[in-house]
Amino acid sequence: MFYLLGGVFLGWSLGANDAANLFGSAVSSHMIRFWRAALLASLFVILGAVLQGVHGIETLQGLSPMDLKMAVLTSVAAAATVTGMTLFRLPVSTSQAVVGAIVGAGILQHQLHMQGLVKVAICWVGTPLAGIVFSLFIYPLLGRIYNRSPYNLFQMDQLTRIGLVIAGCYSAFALGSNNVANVTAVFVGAGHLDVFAATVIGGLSIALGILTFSRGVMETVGKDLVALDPYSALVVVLSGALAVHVYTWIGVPVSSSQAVVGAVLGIGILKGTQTIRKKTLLSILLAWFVTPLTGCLYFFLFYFLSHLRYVP
Amino acid sequence: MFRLLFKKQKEVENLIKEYVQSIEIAQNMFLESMENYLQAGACSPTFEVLAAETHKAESRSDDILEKIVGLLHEKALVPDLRGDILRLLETADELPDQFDRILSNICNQKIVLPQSLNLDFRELLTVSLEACSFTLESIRSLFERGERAARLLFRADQLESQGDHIEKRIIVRIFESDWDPLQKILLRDLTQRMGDIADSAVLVCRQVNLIVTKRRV
Repeated sequence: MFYLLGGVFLGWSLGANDAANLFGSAVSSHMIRFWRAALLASLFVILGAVLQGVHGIETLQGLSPMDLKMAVLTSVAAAATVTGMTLFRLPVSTSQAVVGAIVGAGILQHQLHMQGLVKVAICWVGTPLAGIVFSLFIYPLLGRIYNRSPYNLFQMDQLTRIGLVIAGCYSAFALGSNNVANVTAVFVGAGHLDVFAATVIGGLSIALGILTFSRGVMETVGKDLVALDPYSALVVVLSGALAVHVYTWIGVPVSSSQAVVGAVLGIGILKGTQTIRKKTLLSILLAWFVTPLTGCLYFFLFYFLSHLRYVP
Repeated sequence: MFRLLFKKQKEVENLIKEYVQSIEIAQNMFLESMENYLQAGACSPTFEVLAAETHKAESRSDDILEKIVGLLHEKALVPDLRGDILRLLETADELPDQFDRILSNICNQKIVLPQSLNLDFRELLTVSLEACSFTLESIRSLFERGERAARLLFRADQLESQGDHIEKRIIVRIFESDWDPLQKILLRDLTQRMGDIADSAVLVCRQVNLIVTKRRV
């Protein structure tokens, strides 16, 4: 099981980083206590991974054939990319890091499934776009129900709070179902894990990240979403979750952060205000190129290091 | 169906309703005190009793406000609404404070109202307290789904502007008279404080309207 450590670490950092997209707004605004949110998020991440994680796993394992050594190098390269870029405060997406590393493996083996790769790249660009589209659609639709509801201000306040928790749970489910492939797909490709075990181990490692290291991110990064009013925050979480979930069905792991940024941008378009700084948008563009490239380069580096022999 | 989910919200709602009621009691006591003042002059025994009752009502509204603040800080509402409601109630708290302050000033400073100002003062009192009633109605409108806040703000705004005219007229008349300069200053202060009631009432109405508008999707 030692060979799984790279993947588990990757899942752990994914859980720690992406938890803010699930319950950040609810936790940082004290609508729900951290531990309750973390437990709910973990539970739904595992459920999502086990029930629907298979689609993404099939896509990633099909990008390039792998043996166990290549799978380990891929997960370690992706984990190093995520850790390195996080340390240097660069925008990073786990999905893009993993695909970059798989591409590195494919290049070295001269076996790269280009059609699958193009599908993945299109989905990356489509992730924030899906976030925008969903928020453009959901905001007025839910708004009509909201405005016509028979409940008063205080009751609507409570319903919004409950809505945020439900949206957070759904978002966790979508994250688990979509991103579990990043964690363990390469080991399925190498034939060392069956799909069910891969989804369980992947889901558990993401949950571990949420439970052990997401508190700071949830309480600080989530505040960016709370700058929106509670109703908009609810729409953002829901739209981000739907955007990620759509790509689960397509079978491509995508970035939940980019889906959320797209959703916030959609709210800005509707309200005619600037909700996202240009810097954030540029960082997404940068992440599309820099993250997979770094993943690929790390793979080359680790591959080279793994072939060094000590000659006395 | 949602009764359990809304338990804490219901508690806040009930306390706010109680708070509005306590302001209303203070307002009624203030009206009675002022009626007595306009008829019998300052510091009659009845006036003192009524002023003490107004002070009690003001203290009670403070106690209820404290309870609401405590409950809100126990995270009874979403932070956004919590902040708005706290600001609203703190502004509304100005009203019973003003009633109490006016009555204690009349009593402590022994302000004698000349008979010639009686009608104008009565008019100012009526307009200010009517604006105050709209304000309380406006806060109550938060507990229903209607869109009455804007209409109530408009009415309170009209009354505030009417009150400003009356206030100005009274002050001009005070300073055109040949009364003692000290009495003039005391009467001017009293007039201004009476006018302040409508100003505070409009501020509260504006905040209610803002809360409702902010939450319209």
